[in-house]
Amino acid sequence: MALAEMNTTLAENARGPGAGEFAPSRKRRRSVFFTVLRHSGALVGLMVLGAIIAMAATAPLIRPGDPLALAGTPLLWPGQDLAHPLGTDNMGRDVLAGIMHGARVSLLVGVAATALGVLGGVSVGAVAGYFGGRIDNLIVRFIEIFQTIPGFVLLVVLVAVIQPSIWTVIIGIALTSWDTIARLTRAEFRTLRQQDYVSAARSVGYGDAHIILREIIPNALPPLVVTATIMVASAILSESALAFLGLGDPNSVSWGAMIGTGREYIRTHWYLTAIPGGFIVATVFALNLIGDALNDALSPHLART
Amino acid sequence: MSRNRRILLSLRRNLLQAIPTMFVIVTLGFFLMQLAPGDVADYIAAETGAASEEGIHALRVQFGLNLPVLEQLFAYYDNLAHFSLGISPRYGAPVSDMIMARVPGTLLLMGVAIAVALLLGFAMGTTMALLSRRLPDRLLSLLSLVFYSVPTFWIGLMLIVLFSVHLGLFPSGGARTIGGPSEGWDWFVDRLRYITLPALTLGLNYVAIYARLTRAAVIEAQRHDYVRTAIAKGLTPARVIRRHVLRNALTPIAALTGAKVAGMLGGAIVVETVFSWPGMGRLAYEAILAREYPVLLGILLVSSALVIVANALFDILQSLLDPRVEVS
Amino acid sequence: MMHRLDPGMTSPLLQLRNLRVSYDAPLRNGVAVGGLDLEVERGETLALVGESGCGKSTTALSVLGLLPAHTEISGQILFDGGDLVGMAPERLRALRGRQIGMIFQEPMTSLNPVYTIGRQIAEVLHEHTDISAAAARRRVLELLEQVGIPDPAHRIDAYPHELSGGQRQRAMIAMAIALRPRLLIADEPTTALDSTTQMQILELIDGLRRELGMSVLLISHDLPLVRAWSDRVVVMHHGQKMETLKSRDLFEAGRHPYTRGLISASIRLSDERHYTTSRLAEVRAHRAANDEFRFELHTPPGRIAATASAPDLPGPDAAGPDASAALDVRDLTVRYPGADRPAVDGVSFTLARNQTLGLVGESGSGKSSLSRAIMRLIPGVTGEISLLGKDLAGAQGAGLRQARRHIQMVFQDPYASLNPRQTVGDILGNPLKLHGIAERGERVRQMLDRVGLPASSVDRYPHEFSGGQRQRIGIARALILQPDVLICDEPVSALDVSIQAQILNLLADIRAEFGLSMLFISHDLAVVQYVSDKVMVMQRGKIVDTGDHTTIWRSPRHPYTKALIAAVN
Repeated sequence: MALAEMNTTLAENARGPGAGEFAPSRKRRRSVFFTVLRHSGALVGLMVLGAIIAMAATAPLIRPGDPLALAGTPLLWPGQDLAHPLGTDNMGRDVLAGIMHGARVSLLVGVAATALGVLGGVSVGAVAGYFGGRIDNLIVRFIEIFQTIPGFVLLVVLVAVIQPSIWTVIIGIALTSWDTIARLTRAEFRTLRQQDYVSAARSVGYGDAHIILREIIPNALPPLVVTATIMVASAILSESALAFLGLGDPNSVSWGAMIGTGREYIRTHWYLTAIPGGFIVATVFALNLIGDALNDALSPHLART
Repeated sequence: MSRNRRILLSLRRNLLQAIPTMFVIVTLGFFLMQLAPGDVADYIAAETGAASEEGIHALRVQFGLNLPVLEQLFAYYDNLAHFSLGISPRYGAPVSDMIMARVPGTLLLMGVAIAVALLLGFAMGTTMALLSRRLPDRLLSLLSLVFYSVPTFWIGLMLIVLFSVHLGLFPSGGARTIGGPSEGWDWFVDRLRYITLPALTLGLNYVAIYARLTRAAVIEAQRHDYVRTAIAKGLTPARVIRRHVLRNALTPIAALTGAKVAGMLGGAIVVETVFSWPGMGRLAYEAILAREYPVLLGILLVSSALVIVANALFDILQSLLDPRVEVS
Repeated sequence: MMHRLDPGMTSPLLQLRNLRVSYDAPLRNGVAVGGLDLEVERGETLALVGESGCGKSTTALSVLGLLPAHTEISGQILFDGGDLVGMAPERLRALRGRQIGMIFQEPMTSLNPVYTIGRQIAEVLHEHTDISAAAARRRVLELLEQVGIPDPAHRIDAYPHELSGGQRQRAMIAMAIALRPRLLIADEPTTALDSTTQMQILELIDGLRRELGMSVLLISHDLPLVRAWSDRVVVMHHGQKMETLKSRDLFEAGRHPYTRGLISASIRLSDERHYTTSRLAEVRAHRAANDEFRFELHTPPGRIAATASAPDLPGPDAAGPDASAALDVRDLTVRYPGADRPAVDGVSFTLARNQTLGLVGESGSGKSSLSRAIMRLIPGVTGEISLLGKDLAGAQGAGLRQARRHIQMVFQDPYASLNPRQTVGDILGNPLKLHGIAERGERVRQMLDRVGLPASSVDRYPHEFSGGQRQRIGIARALILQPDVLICDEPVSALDVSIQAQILNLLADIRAEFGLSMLFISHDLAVVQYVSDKVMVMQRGKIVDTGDHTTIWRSPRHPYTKALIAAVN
């Protein structure tokens, strides 16, 4: 029975002098990019995500004009009319146009909200984790408050009160997601700043800026990159849920809003709900696959061998 | 340290932290409401059609809206200290009563969802870890990633299409049959039929979360020296896994469950909306449609308070599961 | 107890025949044990000694079938005549904990943190016998008494984290001997413990061996320890037996060049070796084309001149900082927030130029906090530090940066002290760049050569090197700015003995060559005796004893120094 797994001590022993001579290994660190590519899941994820991005990019070419405008007979099933391969909704709007233009909104919101959230969260977390002391206490209490408020409830209240638009949605999602990455950054910085190599850098005479940028961030990056990828996925989910509740930007088409409209016809025309939902699942699934692959590629257990 | 003392210390620490936290949230909520276009007087005026300037002004005086912001803030604190969240302009009923009537529904839904998610997730995660890197592990990993990627409101609608519309197995909304059985086994079955789909929907994301966490925790536990000690003692594999691997994996799972309560309350909004489940979430949706901001704010405060209570409970659970957890 | 008629009670209890183990895991692959033969006689303690990677732990784990997944094993492990290799899992399980007990290196992680020790000890009783809960508890109390845990009635309900390291290891031993096994395997049982505790644990194991009539298979890297606590010694290297020796004449009778190398590199306090009079032999293994190893034993040439003893070292009680000293520390106190006592409590000392000052103390004595306070790496420090006659404690900004050039540090952990994302070239070159020093490439190459690393190391990352090589990189980084004072914080305690010898020789050479003044911190008395000119003993944040490198050991004044010496002699 081999219930026990190899632990790192036993593994590291192979380099001990008792095992014979040890020449610096010729195996170089493989670039993360290639390690991720070798992961079949990541490949699928990248392909799906690539297709979604291509859809978003070509939307104005393939389906020009306002996707919210009437385009044909209402409630056409997919395949019924080749001019509307994915059918039309109750208002006669082309579903394919909605999907393609909706991809733009989903990606924009996902990336912009994450960028904002990461920027805020990493800065706050870095300050708390690196400097510690009173400022750290204050920031930790602040993060705790944000973790106490149910994020999605706050998001709903925020967007409802300030009136929905694509920017309130983006800012709202950033405001309710920065705490996760702030906490992670703080934890990483706290651990890393106590590493001997950071002490060594300080003994040599480096200041805080160099230590943060050159010694700590490169080592804190892997978990932050993974988390950011997952944050894009959950931002897309939040946006769709908001739009479903009628809190999306009323002037732009969104997958969640399409589901919200389709819901009224779910007993007779379920495809109106199923199709945009399928695209949300595909996008989010692709991002999560990539996040997983990054996590495997960047995990310290594998980096040592 | 005795068990009871640990519980008391943990409770005390949580209570001491809860007071400033709630205070900040309340204040934040108050200023958030200042951002809303228009005020209660405008709504009532719009509702009743009494749009005259004098009428609105009279209403403002009545609600204290003509006072400086700070005074309004103190009035608001004063109300909250008396557990009053104001009056709903539309229904003319106290907001706190409206919300409190919905809290049990949400708690029931969340409780069942967590139970289902824990059961399924723990089983999935254990299977994955013990067969790690083999085919069942890879398939289940992929499945859990799909569960994690699905928008709750959408999977809820799809379940309705399949199980209610096409198969007719479960009702598509509500919490019980109107005029149905009110006691005994029949009542239980009736409630069970209504709660199955919403609980599954709300729990689905969490099945994935628990499955992945359990897998990681069990694999991690197998690297620990104490598992090697347990084998060296001559324990059977089943006992090694139960007493030394799974038991130790419980601590991170409890911690995560506590941390995810806030997220689940958010999920309840959409799930209750989809299934017309009479809970706080459904009330929130109604409040969005009616632009009833005091109700929304009340829900925000009450759900934050629920999170604080849940965190306190899970902290106690954690300190019982792991004697090393510091409670001072 | 299982009684069985053994046809030959004189046959060895445990016999390994041509044991081969190889790993095929993502973390480690290749042969770990390559055809090992050995016997453990009834009632004896056999020690398996060697440096990390030699396969001694793998051998110990293979006896009880505790090897991790993805491991190939062949050959025979005969326990009392039955072959454990390929034995049915059920039969092997019946032997574990009952006929063969095992204890491990890290008692903290080897005990499950969520159960009381009483419960964990009772578990082994319940697994193999039909004992009642009450009887099991009585037996556990008896066992705790037997292994010398004070106040067993109270401690039986303690969790592992509530006990000291030594008590935890005692609890592990109680668990291992609960069913009076015939063989006890002890895998580095004292490596994680302080020296004073080490001896007590080994005494306990030896006492129990006699009391219970057990055999003991003792795995260790420590030659002096093995000599004192075993009957026979098997020396291992690259998964093979080099030679078998009687323990009592291990240091005299060892013939194999590798054994000789280990012996000569192991410094014992009683040998009174000093860097000025005796260089350490370095043993190197070279793999020949036919995969056989050739061992080369060589002692670096030359003697290192005794340091010109600084004229009349002013004691710490002299008034005012001493400008002629390399480093002068007065009333240094380090206080961590929330701690009930200062980590460093009013320490004063003087490090004379061209001298090595040794600092000895057990874990928690505050010696690392002291080194970090001098390096200006931690807050909460009060007192005076003067470096080459200039104030270091109050230096700020550019002044501090300038001062840092003159004082550098070598860290304990060669894995944690190098940034995994920087190449060796960057690690060594960046400090030069920061201080505006030209000819960086040339200086880096020279320094690599000086510490014994190939020039091709420049564009490699730390993870590509072994522990000893990384420590050389750490030394190179400390030296690249050509400092005057070098603080070495446990620089060899994470290293194997042959590597330790190489590093100590290197440090002695560069100290003379670069004219360094060195503060050498270690928990290992023998190492401090070897490298130091003067020695300080630290306990609970205070310097309790100081003296010359010979007198302090011969005539210790403070009782704590006496206790430390007693623990290793």
